[in-house]
Amino acid sequence: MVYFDNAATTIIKPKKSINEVINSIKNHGNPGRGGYPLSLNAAQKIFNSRLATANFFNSNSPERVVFTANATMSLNIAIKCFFNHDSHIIISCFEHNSVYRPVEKLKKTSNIKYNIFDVSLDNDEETIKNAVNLINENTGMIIITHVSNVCGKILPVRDIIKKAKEKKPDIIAIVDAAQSAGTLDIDINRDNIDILCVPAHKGLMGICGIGIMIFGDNLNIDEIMPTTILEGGTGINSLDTVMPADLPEHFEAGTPNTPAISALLASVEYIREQSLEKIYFHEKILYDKTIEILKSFKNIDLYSDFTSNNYIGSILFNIKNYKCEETARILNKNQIFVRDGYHCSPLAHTKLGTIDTGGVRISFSYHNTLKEIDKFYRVIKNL
Amino acid sequence: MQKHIIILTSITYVNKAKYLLSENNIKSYIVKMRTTFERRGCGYGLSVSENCLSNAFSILEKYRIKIVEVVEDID
Repeated sequence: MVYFDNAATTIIKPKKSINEVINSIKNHGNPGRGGYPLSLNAAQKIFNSRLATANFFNSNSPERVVFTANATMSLNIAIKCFFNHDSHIIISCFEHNSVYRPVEKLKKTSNIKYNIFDVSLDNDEETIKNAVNLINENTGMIIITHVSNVCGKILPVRDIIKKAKEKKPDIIAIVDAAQSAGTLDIDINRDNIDILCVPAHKGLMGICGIGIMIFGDNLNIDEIMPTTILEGGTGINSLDTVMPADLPEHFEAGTPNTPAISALLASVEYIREQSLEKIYFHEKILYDKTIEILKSFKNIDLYSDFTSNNYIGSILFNIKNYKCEETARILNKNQIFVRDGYHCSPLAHTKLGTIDTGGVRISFSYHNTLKEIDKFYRVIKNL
Repeated sequence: MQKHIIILTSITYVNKAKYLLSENNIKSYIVKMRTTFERRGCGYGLSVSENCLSNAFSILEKYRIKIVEVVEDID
């Protein structure tokens, strides 16, 4: 089997992450509620995972790491709890529906206005200008995906945020790192990110069922007093009718997913042992090799590139005279698993000119090999 | 030796405080408090020896960890 759908979820997990899940299921009680070892140990493990995750993104504040159900939930909380009514929001033309739909909903229900900035595929300066030019006196939030889940384009998030904050210091910068965390270097404070939203089960090699939302040190949460979209038990201030103001409990109602949070700790440690640099270069070699192969065929329309270092992870293509689902079916039949269609990002497909056809996406992880790309080549050349 | 329990606002801060104290060679352990404390905090506290208490306060203050209350550890 060749698994090329890592943008959706990675299949191969570190062995110690899997062991952590089993250990947690067997040995962890409900954290933050009881005073017996099973509960206290669970709470300790969750704290250790917060600490490791904070450090991974170069934050010293584990309490500013919030665990959610997935990255979509993280983005929904970030957008819906921090926006101002009647304000203006900016998003990129590569956003996933986990950003596009919440913003569209706010437009319909809360009278916000939003604009989409165009991303130049070969000129980052132009992209930065496009984003910053949209900022007006009402702009309260800018939401940027770090890497497109459709074509692998890396957006210049650090420079966009820097210029955006120069123009409007109180703008809240939200970054969707679903396709970059675990592959690209992200420093939440150096990069001036206010809210970083990440899934555990993709590049971080954790398991499905948790997402992460991390607040940068400069985001003054006490002053903003964000609302909540989820209320319930937290184990603290139990007699109050409102959620506690303390982070992370303000956003964490209900029993957390301790097995997945435990696995995340092991996965983050594994990535640190391997080193981000090594992971990036491995994936980049696979990426460039595949692009080279696809470019060698005249009957292939390619929507990703490697002429610069501005692409990683996902490659989008179509074969002339084949519908994307036909290509995917042939690849799948040959035990090469890819994803066809729209990849939950109509914005990206509109930008790339594939909104009528969709496309075939192949996406890599650290555990793919050049041998697998050879197999892909052997199937593709016969089409 | 007499011990005191530092009550904090959440289990996250209790664990953070325990971690910071440990980094500074101060031993502490987490204890579950009486239900009445859950009204104001998380119902957990950090038990610390009296001779380390002053140091522990300084460290928690340095990291801006809010202390809800300090009570004597009668266990």
